[in-house]
Amino acid sequence: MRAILYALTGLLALTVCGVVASDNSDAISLRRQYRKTIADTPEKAVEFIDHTDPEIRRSAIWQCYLLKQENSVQELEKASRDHDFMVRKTAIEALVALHLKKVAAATAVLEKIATAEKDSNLRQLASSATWPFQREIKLLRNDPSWDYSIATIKSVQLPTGGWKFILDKEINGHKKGYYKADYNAANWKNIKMGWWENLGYKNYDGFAWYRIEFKAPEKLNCNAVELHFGAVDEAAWVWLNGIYLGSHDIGLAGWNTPFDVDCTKELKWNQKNVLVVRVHDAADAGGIWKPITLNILK
Amino acid sequence: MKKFILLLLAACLHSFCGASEKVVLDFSAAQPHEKYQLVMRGDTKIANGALQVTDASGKVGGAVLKEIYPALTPDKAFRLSIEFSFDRNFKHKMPAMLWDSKYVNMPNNTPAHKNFHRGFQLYLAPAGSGNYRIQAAFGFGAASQVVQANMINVVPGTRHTLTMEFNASDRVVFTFDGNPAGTCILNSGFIASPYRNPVLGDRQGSSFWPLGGRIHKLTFEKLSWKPLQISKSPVDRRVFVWNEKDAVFKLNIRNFSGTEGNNYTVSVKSIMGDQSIAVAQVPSGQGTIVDLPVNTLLLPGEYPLAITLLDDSGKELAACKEQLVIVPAPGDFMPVMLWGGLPLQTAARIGFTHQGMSLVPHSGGLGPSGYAAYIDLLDEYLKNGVYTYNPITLDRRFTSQKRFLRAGFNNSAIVPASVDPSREELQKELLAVIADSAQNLGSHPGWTMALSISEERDRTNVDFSGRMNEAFREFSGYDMPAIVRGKYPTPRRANLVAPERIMDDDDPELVFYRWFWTRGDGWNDLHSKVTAELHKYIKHDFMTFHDPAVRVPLIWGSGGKCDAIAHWTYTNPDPIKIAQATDELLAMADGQPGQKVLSMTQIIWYRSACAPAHRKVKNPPEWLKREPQAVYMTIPPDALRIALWSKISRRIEGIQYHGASSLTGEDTVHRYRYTNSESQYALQDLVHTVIRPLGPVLKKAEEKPLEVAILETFPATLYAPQHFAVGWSRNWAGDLHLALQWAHLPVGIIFDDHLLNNQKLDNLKVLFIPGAELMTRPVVDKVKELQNNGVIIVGDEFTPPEISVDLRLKSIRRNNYDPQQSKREFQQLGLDIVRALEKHYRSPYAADNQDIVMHSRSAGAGEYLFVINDKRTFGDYIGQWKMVMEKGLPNSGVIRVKSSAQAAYDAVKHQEIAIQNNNGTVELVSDLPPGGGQMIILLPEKIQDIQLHVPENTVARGGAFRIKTAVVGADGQVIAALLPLEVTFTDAQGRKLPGSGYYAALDGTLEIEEFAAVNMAAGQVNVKVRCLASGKSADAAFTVE
Repeated sequence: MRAILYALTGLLALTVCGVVASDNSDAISLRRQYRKTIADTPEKAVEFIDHTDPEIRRSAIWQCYLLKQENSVQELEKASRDHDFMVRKTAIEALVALHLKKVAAATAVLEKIATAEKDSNLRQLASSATWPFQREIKLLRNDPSWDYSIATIKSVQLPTGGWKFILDKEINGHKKGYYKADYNAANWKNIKMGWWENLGYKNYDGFAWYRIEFKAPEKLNCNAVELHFGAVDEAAWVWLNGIYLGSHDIGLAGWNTPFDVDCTKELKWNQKNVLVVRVHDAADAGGIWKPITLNILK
Repeated sequence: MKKFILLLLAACLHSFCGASEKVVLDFSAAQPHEKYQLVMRGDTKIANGALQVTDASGKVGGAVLKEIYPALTPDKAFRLSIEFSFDRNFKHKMPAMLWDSKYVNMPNNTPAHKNFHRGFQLYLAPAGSGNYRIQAAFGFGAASQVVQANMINVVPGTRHTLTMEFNASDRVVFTFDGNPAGTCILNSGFIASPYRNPVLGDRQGSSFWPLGGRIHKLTFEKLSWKPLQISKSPVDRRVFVWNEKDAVFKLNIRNFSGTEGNNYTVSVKSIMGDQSIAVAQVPSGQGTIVDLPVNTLLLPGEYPLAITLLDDSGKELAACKEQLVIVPAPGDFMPVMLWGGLPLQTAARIGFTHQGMSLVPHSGGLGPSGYAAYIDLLDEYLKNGVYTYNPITLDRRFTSQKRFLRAGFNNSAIVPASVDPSREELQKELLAVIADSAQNLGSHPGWTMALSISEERDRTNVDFSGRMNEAFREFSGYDMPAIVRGKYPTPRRANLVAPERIMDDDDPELVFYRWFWTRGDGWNDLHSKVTAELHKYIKHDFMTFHDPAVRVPLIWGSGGKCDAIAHWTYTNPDPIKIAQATDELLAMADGQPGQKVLSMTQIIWYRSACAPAHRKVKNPPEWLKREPQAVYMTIPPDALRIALWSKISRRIEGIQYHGASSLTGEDTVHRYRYTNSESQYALQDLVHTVIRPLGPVLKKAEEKPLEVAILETFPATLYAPQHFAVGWSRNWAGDLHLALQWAHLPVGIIFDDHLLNNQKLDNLKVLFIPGAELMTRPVVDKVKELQNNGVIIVGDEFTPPEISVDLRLKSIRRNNYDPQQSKREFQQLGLDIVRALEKHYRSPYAADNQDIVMHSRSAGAGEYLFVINDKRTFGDYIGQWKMVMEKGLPNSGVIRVKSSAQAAYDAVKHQEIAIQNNNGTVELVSDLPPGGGQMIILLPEKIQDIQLHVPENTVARGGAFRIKTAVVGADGQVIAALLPLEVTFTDAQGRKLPGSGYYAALDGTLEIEEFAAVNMAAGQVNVKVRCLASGKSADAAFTVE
């Protein structure tokens, strides 16, 4: 059977990521054949983990995980380096599932993937298993039940200078509590907005933390308050007053992409607020380099 | 110190107008009247030609009549007219009193003091934004009555005239600046003479209600009055529908003679002939209703009635003239509803068949005055061929009182406040108000629809007071899961919800949310109860609907048992997105057998989404000068055209529009701005050339069995809504639908419910599963089962890893700032999908360019192919901003349809289309104007002839007759398809007769049973039947005598 399928795969150079398979092959028939093969004997799927068709390979690696559970880590680790996005994604998902079942070997592999994986979505997927902060960013404009125009009734730009800054080479700032509102950051360096390469941290690619205190305006009658980040090069995790607001991690493209986080419930009106931003830069320049604005929406 | 001014009143201005006597106090003269003396109170004075009452200190003011003059305190019929103006600087905290001879405005039987029920008051209660409610209180001796008429807008510094006409019988009628301002029904006849002297411009005493302005002139006019009166019952109608059964015109006899009347006769002279109705008893002091049977087989038109009340000796006691109106029967039509309202003539001109009217108040019932006013309005609408729907909304006391609100977690307040619709008291009060209106207005044929509580469910939420937990425990046997915090799950990554992203069907959190969105939050049940309550009392064709029905996690049940569900769609940037929303509605309605679908296009577009104010452009459009601050603007005409074709390509019951101000600009106050004058005419044209003539067929042609479906799986719409359209026709799942439309795939939408109930699966060939970050085990198993049975499963990067897909897509995120590029990308995606599928599945139709969009339906031997031109570019209306390609372009394409059809017809142009049929594939050329569309009817053979049979014998006027018609092919056999026909009956003078209109011939045949009008011209009736597919027609005639 393996021979037959491999003979079939000889016809293929199929890729489904991008958009869809678009060569002359008949991916659908091939995959039907594969499913038929493993229908009664799922263990045969393991024989397909090196198949040339990425969907068959992907499915096979998942079957391998289902069959072998904690004994599949080695295959999963290998698959996590596959050139195909979906194969890697499936392998990482299987590893996350094992990590949640307390399989230490899976956790170790995930930690490696969380720093080595180039695709930000997959990196997030791996890091999310061990990263303790989870929050989806929900903005008023994306609220499905909000069918009214939204006006910014007040905009307050946060200071560009006066920030505290620290590098996080061990990637454990969150474990040290850097994000906490009452964390003593007296020993951190002073910095202003801009690429850190231009501010004394040449050639540094990795994690760093920013922190600033600012006074919010007096309370206004509004429907939402959002922090608008002009640009952070290239990924950011945001806390206000010690509460996690969400992240912006879309890979290299994130360096010049504005984003917003909701802080309606976290903002302290007419009081001191502490904003903390964890920044990751994978290549070239890094840092908070465009202004941050507090937008009050109605 | 109070200052008294004694006025010596000069010129006596008594005059007579017919039987009336008139007294005028004209404050422009130095002395307003020689006979009637006024004493000034407080700072009130006569200055600058007016009586000035402008002291806002709350101290005594106004001018008091020195005596209780009988001419100024009539007990019977009178007309009071007051010319007044408000001061620009006066802010009304209390009502503005114009006239007070009553002192207390307590309602009805307040027993405080017998003298409180004497005299009357007329005042204006402030309602904000320069609006005031006309109010009056009347003392009838033993009781009082307070009435409210219309809201009026008073412009400070401007002279206005308010007139109150009291008929000392059953009503008081107001006009403001010469325009009708409300009629209120009164319980009693005579006003008891005042106890205290009347006051102008303020209350008699106690707390003061200063006018805050000037009275320029006051006129009292005594009107003629008889102790016996007869007129149309104010709470009944004068408009009837052709051939309406058991129609009666209700007359009201009021007897103020002090003695009971016996053996009276009501004599009516009209086109119906002389009618006499014996009335055995007419008790004194109350009204007696007499039913006058109406022959509704009169030709539509207006008919005068001369009505006389006679005693047993034949002496006339009272008389009146009335107008009876017969309107055409509605026939079979597709509703074109305006969600809101326009001036009636405008609505009728554009072709709206329905617009809104607040027939069910928030609370308390409308009362006789309200019913009377609305019946008059319903009559007026019906006369103009416009029907009414009413929005049912919740009273603020439900939405603001804590006892009706849900409690947030840890007893926190939910923001925005969330009403608990399952509260018994709320349901009881709401249903009582509905029942009241339905009982009193529900027999009016003009009221045909009701909208059940729009948008309130947007604020639904989980109740942590314990009530919801108790209900859930009763349902599930266990408590609400501790993780539940609100109406959506606590946001977290899908693999933290279920590591393999497949949830057990009995996962407690999932069980809770499934229960919450179907039963637990109570809204679906309330919509069902609203529907049942209305149907309990309204017996004619009546439809309840709920919107927005798919702005929820997608699971069957939204809208409850409403007869229809609806939703509104903003059709930017791609108008065909409305088909996606409509498909979502159709999928939702599948859960409620028989439930219909209405589809609404938003006339308003968010300016921010198509022409943001903060972005300057070269060559700014003309409207920008007029409306620089516009927040909402008019839909472009081509977008409106494409959206109309797109939604009617689906089987829906009616079409709707919202945002009237942006359509015609007639309501300039509203935030919806009128920025394009062409759109209303685009709609008008389509209504008259497409919706009206083809409506009966559009409603009946059926959706074909689904071949290509998008699954919007419930857990994903709940936990990962960012991928789904949920009513907004956006995000990945929404855009995928567009890609499949542009790829000419016959796409529809299904939910988990369809899979689990084996609905719409029989013919399924391809199933797309976008954005399915989480699925349930039974649904995954069903997907696999379908796949094993040959259905092609198309997933994306979100599909649970267990599903081995046949094809995998990579989701595309739309670029809101480059609609051209996004359209290109989604069109390319569609092409790639078609190519990837082609060895296993081919769409039953295709076109040679992707800017042609198609959808096909069927009925009998007919196929109904909708062809829509979606070729667009950036125009000069909003195209400068490059956010929407709003300008349609002409387009032409070769279309191929898998079909054995041998003939094709353009149902709008009513002509045959040349086709070639090669081995079961029909090929034709479609030429489409910008934003244009076609309904092409494909038939197994050419239409050769229209056969028509009319009565052979003479038909008596008022008698029934029947015609039969059939559409036949070359062999004379009927073509068994659903075909649009126009039938016209004309009399010998060429007048169009009842029964004329548009029809759908089922299986190629149509039988019409009609009546000859009792007053039509005797002689020949010509019948013309025109087939709207082929344009062929048949004529015949029969005789009426």
